[in-house]
Amino acid sequence: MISPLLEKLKEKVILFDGAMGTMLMKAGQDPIKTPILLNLDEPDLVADIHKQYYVAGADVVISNTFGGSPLKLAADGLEGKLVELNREAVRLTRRSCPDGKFVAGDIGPSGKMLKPLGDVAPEEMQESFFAQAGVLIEAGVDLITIETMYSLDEALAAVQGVRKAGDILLLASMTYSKTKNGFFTVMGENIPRCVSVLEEAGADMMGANCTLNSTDTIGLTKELRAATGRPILIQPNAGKPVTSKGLTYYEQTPAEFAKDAKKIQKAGADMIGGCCGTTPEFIQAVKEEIAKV
Amino acid sequence: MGILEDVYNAIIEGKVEDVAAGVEQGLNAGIEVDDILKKSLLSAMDLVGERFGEGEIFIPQVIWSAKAMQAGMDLLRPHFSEGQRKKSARIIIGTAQGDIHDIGKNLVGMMLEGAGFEVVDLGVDIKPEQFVEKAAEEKADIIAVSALLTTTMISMADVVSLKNEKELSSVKVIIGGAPLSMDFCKEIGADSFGVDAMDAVAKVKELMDL
Repeated sequence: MISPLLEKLKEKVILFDGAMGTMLMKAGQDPIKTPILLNLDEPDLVADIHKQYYVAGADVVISNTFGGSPLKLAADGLEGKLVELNREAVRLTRRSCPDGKFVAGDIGPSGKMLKPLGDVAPEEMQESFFAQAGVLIEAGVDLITIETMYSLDEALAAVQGVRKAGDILLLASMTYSKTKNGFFTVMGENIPRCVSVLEEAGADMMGANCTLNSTDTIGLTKELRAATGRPILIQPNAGKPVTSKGLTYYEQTPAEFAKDAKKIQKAGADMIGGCCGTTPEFIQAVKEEIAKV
Repeated sequence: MGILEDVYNAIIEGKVEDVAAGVEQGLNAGIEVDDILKKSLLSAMDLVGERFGEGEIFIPQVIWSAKAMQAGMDLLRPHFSEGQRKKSARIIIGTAQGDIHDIGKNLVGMMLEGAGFEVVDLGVDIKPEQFVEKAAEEKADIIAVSALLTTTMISMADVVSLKNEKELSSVKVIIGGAPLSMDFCKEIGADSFGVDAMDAVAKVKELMDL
């Protein structure tokens, strides 16, 4: 049976949501608290941000579980709350989700490096993602998005962990830097290599998010489009944050972002969202720009 | 000299054992400690830093070269003269309070060690008091603060004012991280700002008059 999301993909460009972290900070949240805790401590705030994105036009909203793998939670002593935090997060997204739209379970990096560079064994890494994926799937997500992976080996462990947990629709998104020799992860892996490994391991859809602003992402989209026949998701940042005289603002406007989003669509993106610094306004602007012929 | 070149190349290639063996050989052959340090270790890491800055090599290569360099450093350190010890400035590094991003900080730490400096890494989410206390305790020359989150930048201002309050005004503060700028650095009274890991090394050398 084909997932309803994959069906919808055939009809239109799928819109994902924008940033959660920066929206929480805008709402005056204490940045010292890890965002995933807010699912328990400020559920209404989290649900409201999700709702704003659906209203702005997002077809898919990503749960507030970016730092929700056991390895990552352990850095804050929260591994005991793995089930509670991930489950609550999905419940809040689902609560805000209108009929016909979708909830994605988010899996972000573990914060650790694999041996021999770091101290985590591949099996341990995979096990951590497997544990988180199990909770997300049980909580009822429509798909899982592995995001902001800067290490192909870690992304592979994540895909393997999710696949071990179930057959759920799975998207793997890497984050790439722009170098004079092309787009690479900080670990030195290029787009074709990442795509090839992750597809082989069982990811259904590919993506790129973070690090780059929307303008630099246009070129990246072309490369990613050329490297795979699977649906691709592109989520750029809203430029760089600038702090001056105590005020912080992101240098890119929703209108500029949306114009680039149109080019990203033309470059072959099937799905578009926003990463750091983006807001519901950005997603609304993208929706309107994409609708123009 | 053959040995110096071998050690240099072994660092570029990240060959930890070869570097250790080479440095050992060099010391036994009576090569000047200063020559091994400068011509093999430091200049090799300079090239590594340059290549990394240019996007020609990546984190794994930098880490391996840094490990190899450290293996050589460990063998040299007992032989350092007072002058060499002085040049090895002590730097306290950490990620700002409320921030848990550490890759950038780790890279800067490695590059600074690669440049011959002594680095004390406090980790992530470090309160201003912790930075300042450790700097006093370790008689550090420099406090280096990293941040990726815009809201944690304010705690950097606290590091600066606190260290001045505690009469550690000779300790310099350098800041770094994607959201930062020279303007911000000036606003909070920090001494320097590094735009990336390579730049951090250059700026630290400037601060230490090297």
